[in-house]
Amino acid sequence: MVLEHLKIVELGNTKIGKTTYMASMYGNLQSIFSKFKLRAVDQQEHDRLLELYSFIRKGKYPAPTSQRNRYDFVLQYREKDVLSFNWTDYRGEAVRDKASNEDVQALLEDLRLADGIMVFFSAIALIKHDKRTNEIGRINYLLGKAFVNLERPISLAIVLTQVDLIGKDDFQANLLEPIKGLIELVELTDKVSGVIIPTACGAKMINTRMPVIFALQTRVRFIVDSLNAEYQKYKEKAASFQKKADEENSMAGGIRDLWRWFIGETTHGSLAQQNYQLAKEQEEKAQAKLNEWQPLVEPINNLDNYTKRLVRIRKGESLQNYATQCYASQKNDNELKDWLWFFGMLMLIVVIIGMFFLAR
Amino acid sequence: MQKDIKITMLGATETGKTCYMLAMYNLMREGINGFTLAHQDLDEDLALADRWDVLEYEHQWPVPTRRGESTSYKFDFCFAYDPLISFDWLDYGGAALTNPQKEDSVSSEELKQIIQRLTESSCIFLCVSGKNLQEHKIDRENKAILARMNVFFREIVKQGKKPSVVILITKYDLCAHRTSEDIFQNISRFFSPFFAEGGNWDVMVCPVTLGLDLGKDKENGAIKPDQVHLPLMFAIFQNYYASTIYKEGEKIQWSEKFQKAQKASETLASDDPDFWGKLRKWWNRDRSAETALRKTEEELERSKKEFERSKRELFEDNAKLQLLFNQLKDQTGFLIYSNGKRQERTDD
Repeated sequence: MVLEHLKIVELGNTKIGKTTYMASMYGNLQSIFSKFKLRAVDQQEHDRLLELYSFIRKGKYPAPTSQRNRYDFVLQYREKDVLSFNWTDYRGEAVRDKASNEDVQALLEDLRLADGIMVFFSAIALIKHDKRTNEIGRINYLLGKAFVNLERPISLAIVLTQVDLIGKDDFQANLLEPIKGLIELVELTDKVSGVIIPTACGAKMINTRMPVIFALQTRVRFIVDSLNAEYQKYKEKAASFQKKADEENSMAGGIRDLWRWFIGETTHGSLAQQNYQLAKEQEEKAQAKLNEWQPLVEPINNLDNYTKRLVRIRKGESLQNYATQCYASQKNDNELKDWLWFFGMLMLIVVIIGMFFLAR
Repeated sequence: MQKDIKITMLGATETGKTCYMLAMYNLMREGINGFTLAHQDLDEDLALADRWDVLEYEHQWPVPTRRGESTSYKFDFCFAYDPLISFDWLDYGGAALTNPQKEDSVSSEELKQIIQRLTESSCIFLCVSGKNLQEHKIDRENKAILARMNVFFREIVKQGKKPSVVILITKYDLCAHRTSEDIFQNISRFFSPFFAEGGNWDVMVCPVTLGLDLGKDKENGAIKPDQVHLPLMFAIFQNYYASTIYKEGEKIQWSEKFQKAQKASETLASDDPDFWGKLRKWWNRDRSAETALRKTEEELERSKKEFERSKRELFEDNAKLQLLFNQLKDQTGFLIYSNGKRQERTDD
């Protein structure tokens, strides 16, 4: 079963690394992780993104996006399609364009309808408190326009790019000071669940899966919880009708129903039948919800686990705390890869030695 | 959300009105403790941000607004992305203020218009440049402008209005060498009516600066705006405060109406005629009692609904008022006077 099309929008100034991130994310999600895999609906897009990815791995970065692009992706779980989503990549200049520009209107509309938004800030510019490069004010402004009287939950990933180019000592409150206003807003807005994700794309890939996985996890978790709530509601209704039907049934027949029939009222027997019918209908509805919900349970639990180590934006946290967690998050991702690489190499050596002895 | 309001900023040329507005806008545009300010027009937002960027990153000061020029901006003030209030901000440096000594240069129409605008304003920002407060004495031209502001206020009072007032000491870096008490003495002398007991004015005196180093080195001093958002917080707070008082009164009124209707309904319901009375009524087809009872019940229902609505609105406004108050509560470096008395910022 494939869920509805989810919408993900990325927002950031030009030359911050949005397209680079996009191709890196795609390339990275080609290998199966926690039984998940990503595929592009369009084969040409698939080839193009993988080509970009191979260049990025060699340290060759793509040119800034010159137009608005929309990509359709499908997230697979155990090689089955579970979730389709589209991803809109804007050229960075759209952030600063005039209202009369079509792209700006489309961007605002996309932001209003998005299920997940990723905002990109260069970590290097953040350290220098260079707000202009990151267009922090304008991005906050656009988010403000999109989030007015927000009624549905939305995920917001604050993606820090180029973290491989900053040092350990840079992971201090100072790093996040320029986006303090945005972080505070997310902390205070119930409908927005936010995370800060330090990333790097290049020879070293750090956390490139996380932003998209977080966006999908938030949305799917919401869908699963809503389906579950609906299932419970139908179940309760079915039980209530069943109870009523049983009560009516116990009074059915005999003199009472004869009298009701005589005065033209619905008999207890008929009422019991009606209620049994209603209970059955509600039970069917509950079952339908269960059928929608159950296949998602395992994937969403997996996604929940996978996103546990993200730096969640929560009320009461200090900037220093967030920065420390960001450092740990990028370090863990890095170290995990180093360990996997080391373990792989070790296994290879063992196999070679084993084969050598076998050959002898 | 509260209904739209007007805020007017008065000040002579080169008092720093535009720079102050740019600093305030850009600070609040990025968000401060969950509060944001956004121009309603996307292009105007860019224009304001660009002007600030030139100032902040290139240290290029905006060309002083031409004498007699005024500009209007339309802003949305939000908390956690929810709109609290929209307001029209007028930056007035018109001839009616800047050419006070030449009465003939001011058309009566312009004077009428600015008085009208001030009368409609919920809050008025009076800009006094720190440059004019460097010493105890103020030059003649500025004295005349300050006197002119007082004339405006006399006109406003004549119209029966008392908006809240922010006396904004712009370019505070230029007079930071003086003690606050000393500066306040100057201010209270120029604008004595605002500080008179029984005057019923709510006034904030707030020094603001774009950077404390700028007083010593305007070209290279660091640009770090300080306290620039607080006057706006005060203005919105005052508006919410006035609104809660009004809504409190409204709630009491609806509560009284509800009680009255309830009593009337009970009296009518208990006014049960005897058998002969009922028969007489039936015979005469007298339906007046039923009609009266129905009307009373309608009134009861309506007053109950209105009472609940005013109670809910008051509750919401009180919550927002508290949020705004929290912004002012822990800050120092400004004074608030209400009815001539200095206000301590406690939760009471």
